Amino acid sequence: MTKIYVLLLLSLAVVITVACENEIPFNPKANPPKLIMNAFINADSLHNTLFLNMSGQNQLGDVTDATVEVRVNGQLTETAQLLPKKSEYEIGKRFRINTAFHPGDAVRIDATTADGHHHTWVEVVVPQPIAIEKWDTATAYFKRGGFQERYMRYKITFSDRPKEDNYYRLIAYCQTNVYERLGGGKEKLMWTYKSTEMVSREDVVLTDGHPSTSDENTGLFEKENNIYGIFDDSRFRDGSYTMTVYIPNPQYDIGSDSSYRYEVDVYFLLLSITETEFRYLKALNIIDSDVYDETIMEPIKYASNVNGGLGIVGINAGTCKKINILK
Amino acid sequence: MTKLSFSASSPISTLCLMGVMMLLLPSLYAQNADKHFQLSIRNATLEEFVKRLENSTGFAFIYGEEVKLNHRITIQANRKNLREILDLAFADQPISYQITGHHILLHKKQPKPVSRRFTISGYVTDGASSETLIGVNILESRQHQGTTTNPYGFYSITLPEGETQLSFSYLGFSTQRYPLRLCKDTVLNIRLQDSNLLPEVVVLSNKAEAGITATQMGSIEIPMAQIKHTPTILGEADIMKTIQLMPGVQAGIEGSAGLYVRGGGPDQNLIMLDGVPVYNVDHLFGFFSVFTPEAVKKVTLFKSSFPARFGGRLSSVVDVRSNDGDMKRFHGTFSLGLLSAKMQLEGPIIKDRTSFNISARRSYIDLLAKPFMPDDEKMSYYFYDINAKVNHKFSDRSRLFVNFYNGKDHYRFDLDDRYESPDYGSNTSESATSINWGNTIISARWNYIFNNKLFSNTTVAYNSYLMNAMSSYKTTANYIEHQLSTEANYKSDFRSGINDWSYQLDFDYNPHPAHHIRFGTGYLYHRFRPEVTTSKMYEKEQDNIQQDTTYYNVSNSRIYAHELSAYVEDNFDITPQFRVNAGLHFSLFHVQKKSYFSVQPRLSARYQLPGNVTLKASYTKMSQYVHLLSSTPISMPTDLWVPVTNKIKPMQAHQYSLGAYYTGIRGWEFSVEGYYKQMRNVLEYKDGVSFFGSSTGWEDKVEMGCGRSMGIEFMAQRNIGKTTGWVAYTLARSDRQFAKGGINNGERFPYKYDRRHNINISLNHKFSERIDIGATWTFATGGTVTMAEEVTGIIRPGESTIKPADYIAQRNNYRLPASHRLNLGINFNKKTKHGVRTWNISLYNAYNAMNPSFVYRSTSYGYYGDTNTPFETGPGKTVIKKLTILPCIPSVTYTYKF
Repeated sequence: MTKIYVLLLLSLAVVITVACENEIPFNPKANPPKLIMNAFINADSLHNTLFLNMSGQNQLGDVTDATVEVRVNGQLTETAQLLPKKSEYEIGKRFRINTAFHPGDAVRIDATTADGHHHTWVEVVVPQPIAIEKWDTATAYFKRGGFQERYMRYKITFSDRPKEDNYYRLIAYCQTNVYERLGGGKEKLMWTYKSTEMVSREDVVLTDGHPSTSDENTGLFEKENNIYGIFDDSRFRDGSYTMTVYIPNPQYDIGSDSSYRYEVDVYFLLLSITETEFRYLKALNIIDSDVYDETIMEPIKYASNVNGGLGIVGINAGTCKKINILK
Repeated sequence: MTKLSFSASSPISTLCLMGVMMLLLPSLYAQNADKHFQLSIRNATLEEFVKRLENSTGFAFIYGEEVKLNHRITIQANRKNLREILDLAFADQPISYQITGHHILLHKKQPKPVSRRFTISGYVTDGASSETLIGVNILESRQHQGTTTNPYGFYSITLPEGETQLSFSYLGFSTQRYPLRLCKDTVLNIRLQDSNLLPEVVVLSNKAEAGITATQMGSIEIPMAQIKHTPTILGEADIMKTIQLMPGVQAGIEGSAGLYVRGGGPDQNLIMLDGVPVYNVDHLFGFFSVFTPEAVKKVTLFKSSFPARFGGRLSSVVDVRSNDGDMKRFHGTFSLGLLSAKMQLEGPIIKDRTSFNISARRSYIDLLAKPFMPDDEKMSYYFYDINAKVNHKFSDRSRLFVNFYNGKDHYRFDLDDRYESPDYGSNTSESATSINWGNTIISARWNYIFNNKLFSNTTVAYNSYLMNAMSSYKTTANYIEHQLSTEANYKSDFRSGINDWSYQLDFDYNPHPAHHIRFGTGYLYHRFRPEVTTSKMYEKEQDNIQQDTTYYNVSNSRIYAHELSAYVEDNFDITPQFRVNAGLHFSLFHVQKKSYFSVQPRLSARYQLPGNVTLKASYTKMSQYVHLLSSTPISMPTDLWVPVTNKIKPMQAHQYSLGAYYTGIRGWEFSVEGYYKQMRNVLEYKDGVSFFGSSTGWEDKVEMGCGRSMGIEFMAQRNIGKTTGWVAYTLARSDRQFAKGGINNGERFPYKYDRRHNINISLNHKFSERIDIGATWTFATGGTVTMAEEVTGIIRPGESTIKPADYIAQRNNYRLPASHRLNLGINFNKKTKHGVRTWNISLYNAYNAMNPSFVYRSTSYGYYGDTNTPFETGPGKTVIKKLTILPCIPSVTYTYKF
C-alpha cells in the first residue's frame, strides 16, 4: 500500500514539472486596416513631419497615396508636401508641414487616401506656452553607478497657467561646439556634440512624487523613468515651481592646444503639451523604461486623438532658455 | 328545571347534553323564543328566576352546580322577548346561556383570556464547551413562532401566557425540546448536546438571517464542516475557497482566494472578522486567505438583500465569527501540512466564567530551505496568523470578548559579497531587502442584555494594515595602493497602509412576536497612510564623514476620513405566510472637507406557498467609500486602499433580486435566484497608466463609470446524511461603460471576470467514522483579457521613423478558454487514547487541467525594426501564452485533535 502511495506521488510530481507554459490558439478576426497618423509638431517650427501608415494584423501596412490638408482656425493653410522615401524598405508616407502655428490656434489636419477609403483627422488647440522665469546653476557631485561624478545642477523656476489643467514637458540638452581657430579672428565649426542626458530623480514633480537620492530602486518594484520629462501641474496648480535637474558636466579637454575653441551651452525647452500627448508619453515612459511586465500587468493602450483612424498628433508650444557654460 | 349534578364543563357532559338537545330541539324552537313577555322580579335567586321564567315561557332550564350568581337578580321587563330578558338577567353575572329547542342551557362563563405575553430569552451554547451557538433555530410548538440566535448566541421570543414548548435545533447537535408554563418573563439558557448520530433534519425558523427560510435572500451560511472538508491547494482548508464554490461567486485568477461576487470587484466585499473589517485577507499574493478554519465558528455570506447593519461595500458581506473558547475543558488541535503548521488551543481560565481560544499558523518552507542556501545568499518567505480571544461572562446579562488578530507575510533577501586581493585590498558589501505586510486587529466586544427584549452589543476596535519594505546596503573598502578606507551605508524604509479606529453599537429588540427590530450606530475613523519613504545615507572616507543625511519622501499626504453610520431594520410578519424585512442604512463619509451622505433602503420579502415552496424578492442599495488600487490580477502588497476624494465620488449599487425555493424533499434544499445590479461610479484605470508600486496621483489615473451585472443562480444542496454537498450553476453577465471619449471610447465592454457559465459541485461522503472523502469540481467560462489584435505605428519624440506596436482596439476584447478543475481529498480518522488523529491526502487539480493563471501575447519573430527596415525575417506570428502555475498538486496533512 505504501509503495502505491509513493508511486502515485512520484507520478504526480512528474506531472507538475511538465506543467507550466502553453499556447492558446489565437485567431483574431481580420479587422480592416486603419489609417495611422502620427506627428509631434513644434508650433515654433516650420519644418514638422507627419507620418501616415496603415495598421495590420501582424505588420504595418503601406499607404499607396494620400493627401494631407492643414487648417488653422477653419482656414486651409496648406496641403502638406509628400517627402521622398528614405529607403526602399520604408513603409508609409511622410509629409512636411510648413504652416506656422500659434498658441490658441485650432488646428485641424485631415489625411485622406487616394482611393477615398480612409479619412482620418485630428483637431488640436495649440497650448499656451509658459516662460522660464529664473534659473540657477551649481556644480554638484552626484553618485551614479556607484561613482561620484561631477554634474551641473540646474534649478528652473516657472509658473503654472492659472485655472486650467496643464501638461508640460521639459527637455534639456548640452551642446558642445568645437571651433578651429583659423587665424585673423576667424573660426570654423569643426563639430558639434549634443548630450541629452538629464537626471531628474531628485525632483518631486518629475518623479511623480517619488524623488530619490540614489539610482538604487528603493521601492518594491521597478518604476518607470521619466524619459520624456513630462509632468502635470497637480503639485503646483496655479502657482510657481522650481524644478531641479542634473546634467553631466560637459567633457572637454582644451589642454595646451589653443588652436581649438570649445563652446558649451545648455538648452532648456519648457513645452506646453496636450493631455493626450501627456498620456501617450506616459505610456511610452513605461515601455521605454523596460519595466513593463506583460504577464502580470494590464496591456498598455496608447492614448490617441486621431478620429477615424489611429495614432497621435501632438502640438506643443514652448520657450527655450540657453545657458552658456563655456565660451 | 333539570339540574345536573355533573360538571357541564366536562367534555362527556357537554356531549351528552348536546345529544339530548339535538334530539329534542327540532320541533319546539322558535315559536316561543321571540315571543314577548312581561317580567318583574326582585332579589331572586337563580332557582327563583329559573322557576319564574319556566313558568312564564314554557322553556326548561338545564344547568350544572357550578352555575352560580354573583348577586341576586332584579329585572323589570316590559314586552321583551326571551333573549332580551336573559341578557338583562345575566348581564353582569358569570353565566352564559344557550337556547336550543325548548331548552335553555346555562353555563358558567369562562373568564376572558387575558392577553398577557411574556418573553423567553437567553443564550444557546454548546453543552460540551459552552461556546455560544450562532443561528440556532428556536421554534415554539403552540403558536408556531420561531426565532434564531443572533451572532452572539442570544435569542429572545415573546409568547402568550400558558403552556408552551420550545425546540432548539442546530446542525450537528441533538434537538432539545423544552416544555414550560409561561407565566412570567423567563431566562432560559440552553446547552445543546453534540449529536453522535448522523445529522438530523433541523427544524428551521423562518426568522433566520441566512438560508432558505430567511426573509433575506442571497445569504448563505457556509457550514464549517464543509469548509474543513473541501479539498484545496496543499491541504490548506480555506474559507474563501469554499465561498468561491457558491453560486454567483468567482475566484478571479485560477487558484486565488479572491472573491468576485455577482460581477463586483475584489474591493467590493466587506469581509469582517467578529464585526471588524479586514482589509487584507490574503497570504502569498492571494493564493491563501488569512482565516484559519480552526479559529472560526461561523461564516455567513450575503450577496444581496444585505441586512441594514452592513454597509460600505457594494457586492458582498462575509461575516466571519471566531470561536469564543471552551468554558469547561482544555482541548486543541495540531496540524502539519506541506505548506504550514497550525496549532489551536482553547479552554477555561475560570471555569464557566472565562475562557480563551488561541490559534496560530505559520508556513515553514523557509526553515526547511535555509540549511541548503549558500552562506552569502539567503532568501526567506513565510506567512503567519495568530488569532486570540478571551471571553468573560460577568453574569447571564453581561459578557466581554477581547479579540486579537495579527497576520503577516514576510519576505527577505540577504546578499553578502567580499573581494580581497593582496595587491588591491578588500571590498565587502552587505545588502538586505525585506518586505512585510499584514493586518493587526484588536477589538473588544461587550454584550449586555438590558431586558429580555433588548440585547446590545458594543464593539470598539483598532484595525491596521501596513506594508513595510526596507532595504539596506553597506559597503566597506580598503585600498592598499591609495591607503584609503571608505565606508558607505544606505537604508531605505517604505511604508503604506491604512488604520482605523471604530466603534459599533448594535441592539436587538423583540417587542412583539411579529417583530424583530435591529438598530444601531457606528463610527469609523480612517487614517490612510500614503506611500512614505525614508532614506538614510551615510558615507565616510578615512575618518571624514562625507555624507550623513536622512531624506523623507511623502508622495501622498496623509488622508483622514470619518465614516458615520446608523441603521434600523424590522423583520416582521404581515401574515403567517408573508414576512418582510425593511431597513434603512444611513452613512456619512467626510474626507478632505467634503461630506458624502447616503440613505440606503433595504427591503426583502418572503412569501411561503403551500408545498414547501417559498418566494422571495429584494431591493438593496449600497454605497462604498474606499477603493483598492491595484494594477495586477493578483493580490500584491503594494495594493493600496484609498478613500473617495473631492474628485472621486462614492460607488453605489442598486440590486434587485427574485428567488424561489423548495424544501419538499427531506434533507434537500433547492433554490433559484435571479439578480440585476446597477453600479455607479465604479473605477477603471485609464489607458496607459500603471499603479504598480505607486499610487501617486491616482485620482487622475482612474475614470468613473457605470457597471451592470445580471444573472440567475441555481443551487441544489443536501445538508444531512452520509453524502452532503451542493451543485450550483450560475448564468451571469457583467459589463462596464464609461463616458464617451473615455475608457473604451464610451462603448460598453465586458468586465474582466465576466464569465457566462459557472458550475460548482462540492460533495462530501462519509463512509464510516474512520474514512470520509471530499471532492469539488468547478467549471467556468473563460474570463476576458485585453489582447492586441492588430499592429499600429507609434512615434517617439525626436525620432524620424514609426515603429510597430500592439494596438488594443477594445478593453477586455478577448475571451479565454474555459477552465475546469477537480479537487479530491480523503480523510483517515482514528480515535487514539487522547484524541483523534486525521491523515488528509488531497489532490488539487486532479486531472491536471492546464487552466491559465496568466496570459500574454507573444510574437514569435519578425516583429522588429521600424518603418525603414520593417522586418528581418518576414511578418511575425502571434500567439497567446498561458502560464499555468497551479497544475496537479498532491498534499498530505496530519491533524491531531486532543
